[in-house]
Amino acid sequence: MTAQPLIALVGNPNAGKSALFNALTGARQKLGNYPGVTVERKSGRVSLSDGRPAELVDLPGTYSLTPTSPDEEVTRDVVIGKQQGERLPDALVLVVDATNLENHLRFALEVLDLGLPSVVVLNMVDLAARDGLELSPEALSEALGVPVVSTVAVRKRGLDHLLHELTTLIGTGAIALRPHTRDLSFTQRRARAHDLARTTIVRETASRRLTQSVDRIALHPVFGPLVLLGLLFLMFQGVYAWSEAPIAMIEGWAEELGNLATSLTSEGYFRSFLVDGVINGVGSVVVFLPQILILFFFILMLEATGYMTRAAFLMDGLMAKVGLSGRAFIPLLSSFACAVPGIMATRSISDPKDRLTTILIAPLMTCSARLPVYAVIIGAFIPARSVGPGIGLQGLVLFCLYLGGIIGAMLVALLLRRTVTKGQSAGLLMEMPKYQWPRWQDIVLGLWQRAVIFLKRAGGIIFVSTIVLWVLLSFPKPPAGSDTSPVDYSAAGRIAHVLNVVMEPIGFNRDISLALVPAMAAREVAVSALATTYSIDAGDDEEKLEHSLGDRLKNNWSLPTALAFLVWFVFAPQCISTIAVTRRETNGWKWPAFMVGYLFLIAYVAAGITYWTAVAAGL
Amino acid sequence: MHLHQLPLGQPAYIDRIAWDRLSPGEAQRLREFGVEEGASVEALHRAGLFGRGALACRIGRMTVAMRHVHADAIHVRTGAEDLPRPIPAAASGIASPSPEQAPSLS
Repeated sequence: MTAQPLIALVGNPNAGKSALFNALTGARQKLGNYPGVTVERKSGRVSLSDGRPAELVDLPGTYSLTPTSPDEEVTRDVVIGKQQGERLPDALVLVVDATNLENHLRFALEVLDLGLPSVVVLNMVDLAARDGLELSPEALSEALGVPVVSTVAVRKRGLDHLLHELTTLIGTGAIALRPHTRDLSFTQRRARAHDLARTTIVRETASRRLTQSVDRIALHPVFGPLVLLGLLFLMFQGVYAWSEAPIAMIEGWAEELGNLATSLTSEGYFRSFLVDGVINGVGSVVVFLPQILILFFFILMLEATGYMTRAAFLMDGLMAKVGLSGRAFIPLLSSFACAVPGIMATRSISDPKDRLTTILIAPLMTCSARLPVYAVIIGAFIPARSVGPGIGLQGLVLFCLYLGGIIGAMLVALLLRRTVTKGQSAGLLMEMPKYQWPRWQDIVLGLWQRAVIFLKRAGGIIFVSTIVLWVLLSFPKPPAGSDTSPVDYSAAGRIAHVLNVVMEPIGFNRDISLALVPAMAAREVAVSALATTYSIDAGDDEEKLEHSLGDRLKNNWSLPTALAFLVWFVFAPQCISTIAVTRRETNGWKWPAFMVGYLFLIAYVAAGITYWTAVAAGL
Repeated sequence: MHLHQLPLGQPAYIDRIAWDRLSPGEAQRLREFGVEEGASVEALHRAGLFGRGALACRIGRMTVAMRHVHADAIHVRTGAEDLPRPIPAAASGIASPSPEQAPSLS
């Protein structure tokens, strides 16, 4: 065999598979897709004890080999060698939660019966010790006839031992496996798992159950929702409060880069293109990286600590009222970071109508791409004053925008469940994992992956649309001595004039209409588009050029216009990636078309109402 | 009594499950979570101040969240006098787990 040996990680959800995968592969990971299905393939390289490289693949978690979702189907097909685009693994690592042996060993037995060379990993032995369980991996190994290794993936404990066992396994080829439970019924296999667990657990002492103590508060009918609300509020305040210094730093770099480019180029189109187009446009978006990373930090922490399922539990009552499954809460909360992974996460919802409704409302959750837009407008129009101890007005407005998206989503879900996605809701059935303090390297790795994706977007979509916009804004030039501003005279200005006929009634001006067109690619492009527009509009007027984007907006927009613009972005489906992923997940254009249509309609009406109300109130 | 009637914090055993009242998918998931006759169970938390919020319960060593409709299909009993047989071995008629005996099971 010329290819590297393939090792697959198999296990129940919450067995700590991903932590083990991260601990074994470090940053040497490759994300892809299995052909024909929209299931993510996560692979990485490991070095075996004898120095040979091997490919490690992290299979989706499942409770049995009887799949209930496309993800679980992939896991089954890989381990039986039927998955297109994946060869049969040379060895399996069966990851078992040491604190939940009875349950996880049942699935391990099912997989062991396939007869592939396997190592069983008793993961999270530290949590088992915390629960007062003393385990004997040797006893389990003897009973199963396969090597058993104890690990604490999040602390990188036991990895060398695991790699050593894998090296032996792969070196000697398939080892003789005793048939265990083949042909047994589910219940009989489960009984065998119970027996095995009793063999493995040497001693069990009553102990302090941390998870239960925390849950007494976190799931309390009164304090639970308060804690959740507090965490969400802290998250949105943190996005503002902690990002100031790094933002100022990035702004400083962009300015220096602009000055450098100005000094190195001579006056003319190239300088304008480089400084106004590229540096100003891309810089105005990259500056939001700190805020996006802070948001992702919170979401990754909520997931990794095990709190996310608690939030789903608390929210289930509300979700049920609008006809959704409590499970929908996890994809929806992920959509706060980005609707694309959020929509992909709906695959865990087995009921098709529940899932479709969740997909259709996911873009209403305020994603991180809206942050640049919100931040620039809020920074310009909402005074940075305190409205109470620890509560800033700007953070409060941001919180309200998030809340607006959530309330909108709930109302839309309610409506959809009574019309286009009519039917019974499938409900909530989920495991609640034990609380765990995540390994900080895993969080850093997650943040790094998000930062790379964001910067690639800034370098790709945003860069290209900024350039196209710069070209459209710069040509044709007004004849010398003309009163018309360069922007009004340009091709983009003329397009905006036409669009403005529709947008003017809701308080939008030419610049907004202009920014909305390239922002179809991605929301944050609106900011770079505005930056480029005002930069070109300023021309060589040095006094104007000194103004920041915020100051320029303040001079050109009224408060009602700014508010209407904010509300527009709560609802408008300005994101090509979301539309594309919806098409992929719903297998056609019908639902993405429906989604885009209804969201634009709501955006227009809501922005209009905001504008007219604000004008009537004399703001 | 039904699982949703079980007072919080009182250990009990699953007596009977009305599988016919659950969809095949729900029944499979509950089985995978360890819901079966004889399993130990304890209601831990109820979400929502009023009415029928989700229920978090311990089944074996696992904490599982479910809705009222699922808890309604699970009958439980408390009290030491009529503790059901422990699930393993006896319930399934499988002999003790010595490695030598295991192969004969298949």
